[in-house]
Parts: sequence; structure tokens; C-alpha cells
Amino acid sequence: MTQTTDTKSTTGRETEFVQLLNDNKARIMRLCKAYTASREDREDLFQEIAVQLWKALPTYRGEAQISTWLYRIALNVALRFSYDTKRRKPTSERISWIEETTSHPEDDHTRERIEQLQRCIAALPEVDRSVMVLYLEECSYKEISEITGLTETNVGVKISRIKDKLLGCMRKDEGGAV
Amino acid sequence: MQNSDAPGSKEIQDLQQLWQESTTNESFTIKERAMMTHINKEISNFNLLFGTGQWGQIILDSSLFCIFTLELLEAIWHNKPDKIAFRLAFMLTALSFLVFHGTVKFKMRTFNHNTSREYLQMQLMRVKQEINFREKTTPLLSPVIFGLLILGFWNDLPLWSIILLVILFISLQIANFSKKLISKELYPLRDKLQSALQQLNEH
Repeated sequence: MTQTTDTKSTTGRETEFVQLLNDNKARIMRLCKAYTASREDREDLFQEIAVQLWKALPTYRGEAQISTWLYRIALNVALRFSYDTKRRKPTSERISWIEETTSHPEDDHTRERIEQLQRCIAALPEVDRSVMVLYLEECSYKEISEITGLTETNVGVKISRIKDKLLGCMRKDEGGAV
Repeated sequence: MQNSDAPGSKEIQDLQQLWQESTTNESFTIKERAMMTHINKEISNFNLLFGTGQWGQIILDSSLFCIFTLELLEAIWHNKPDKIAFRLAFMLTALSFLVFHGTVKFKMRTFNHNTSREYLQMQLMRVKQEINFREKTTPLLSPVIFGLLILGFWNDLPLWSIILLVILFISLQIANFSKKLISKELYPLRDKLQSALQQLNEH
């Protein structure tokens, strides 16, 4: 009887998780791109975030928005991953479970600008990067504050400063490219 | 909400749009073969360390069970009460391992090994059973065994007392080691298998 209940709840959790991952796959992948340099690392990070989301799903009580909860977990994993990547020795064995099929935008200029934006974001310090990624994901200041633990005022100040830095970097890159 | 009147907001909105577009044309598919290769490496390691539900383990436990049953019968036949407790303890240990591995083996037969999903589900079941056994059964079994050992050897020669202490010491070390095994080997493997299954379900 208990086993039947367990099986049912596990199946329910699986469905919920698959739905969550499907709905937020692109968001998670964008975040992974901001914190990794190689495709292998990106796949590893995506995998790690998926594992942590699966583990944390039973603790989600609906107090925060699902996106806030997801970003909080994903960002924590990404920051820890980024820290570990800097410290760990290179290994030959990699988990490579997700195949990323990219068909670049038709427009070369758009592709170049996306790459440029990713470069500029990668150049930001980690906390600034977290804030900026969330801002680009169109999270409100309140959500960013809830996810990062910074005050809303602090988020506002930071975003204003990082925006300038990011736009400066984009202009500089554009200038360099020309 | 975000302030769209701030200077440079048009540029920022463009960047937001660009950022969203960065994954628009990407799709993800599971590299099933790569995943299975990786999982199989981990499973080989798991088999080497634990051998949960494998024939080798069942044969070993059956042999031990037979040996200790014969030893126990011999002690009962020759009426050696001091030996009975010791042999009974070891017979029960062998039996518990035999029942555990036998049950897992029986459950493994219900899975279809030819599909990735069922194969992963089977491996996940083995890992979960091993975790349960180490977390729940072993801590209950160890004190009983030690109690019986002490009772069985209470009146023996001092040499046996020394051996008993050595056994106790080694057992504690093994218990300590197995805790690390759970956190370092079993939990990560369980999570990987669950995650792999999720990804298979998703696609």
C-alpha cells in the first residue's frame, strides 16, 4: 500500500519535473552559457542544475514564484560550478548527455551580436553577472532581490552601473569589430 | 517592474531581446549512447564495490550460509553452547545478505534489459536497495552481531578476546568506510540515474 502511494507520488513528481524542465530549458541554458566557457562545461552545468532541481522539487512550497525558485537554485549551482571549474583539474571524462543542436540565426549580424553579448556578460564579475542575467531574463527588481538576497535598492543601483558597463563593452566591441 | 524610461533603455531592451534570441534556434536532444556509456562505467564501478543482486554475490552468500549452518549444526550436535552464539550470528548475517541479494536479483528479472529506460530503472532500483540496506539494515544488524559475539566468546581464552577486539575495531572501520561509500558513491550514482531517467522521459 505504502509502496503504491510512493510510486504514485514519484510518478507525479516526475511529471511535474519534466514539465518544469521543458518550460524552462531555454532559460537554464542561457544561464549556463553565462557561466561556462565550453560546450562540455555547459552540458555539465545543465545536467547539474537538472539534478539539483529534481532534488529540490519536493521542498518547493509555492511561497515564491516557480521562476524565482528555479533561478535561485540554478544560480547557486552555476556559481558553485563556476568556482569549482576554476579550481578543478581538467579531466578527460565528461558527462555528455545533452546534445545541443544549434541552427544559427539567418542574420550574421544578429549571431555576431549574440556572441558579443555573451562575451561581455562573461567578462562581468560573478555577482554582477548574476544580476545582469536575471535582468536580461526580464525579472523584476523584486524578483532579482529575492533570488540574489540583495536589497531592491541595491539591485537598482547595481543594474544601473552594470548596464552602463555592458553597453560600454558592446559599443567597444562594435568599434573594435569595425 | 523594470524601468523602461531610463537612459539607454532602448539599447537594453534590444539586448534583452538579443539575449532571449540566443537560445531560440537551439534544441536539445539526449545523446543516449553517450549517456549509457557513462552510466555503464559507473555501474561497473558499483558492481565492483557492492555487487548488489549479482550471481557472484549470491553464490558467495549461499556458500557462507551453508558453511555456518553446518558449523552451527556441528556445535549443537556436540553441545558446545559457547560456540553456538558465534556461529548463529554468522549464519544470520550470511542469511540476511543472501535474502537481500536474492530479493534484488528476483526484482531485476522483472525489468526488460533491452530498453534504456527499463535498464536505468533497474539500476536505480539496485542502487536504492543498496542504500536502504546500508542505511537501515546494517546499523540494526551490527549491534546484534557484536552482542552475540561478545556473549559467545565471553568465556574463551584471552587470545579470542584480542581477536574479538580486532574484529570489533575492523568492523567499526568498515562501518565508517561504508558511510563514506554511501555519500561518495551511492548518492551521486542514484542522482545521476534519476536525472538520466528524467531526461529520457522528457524526450
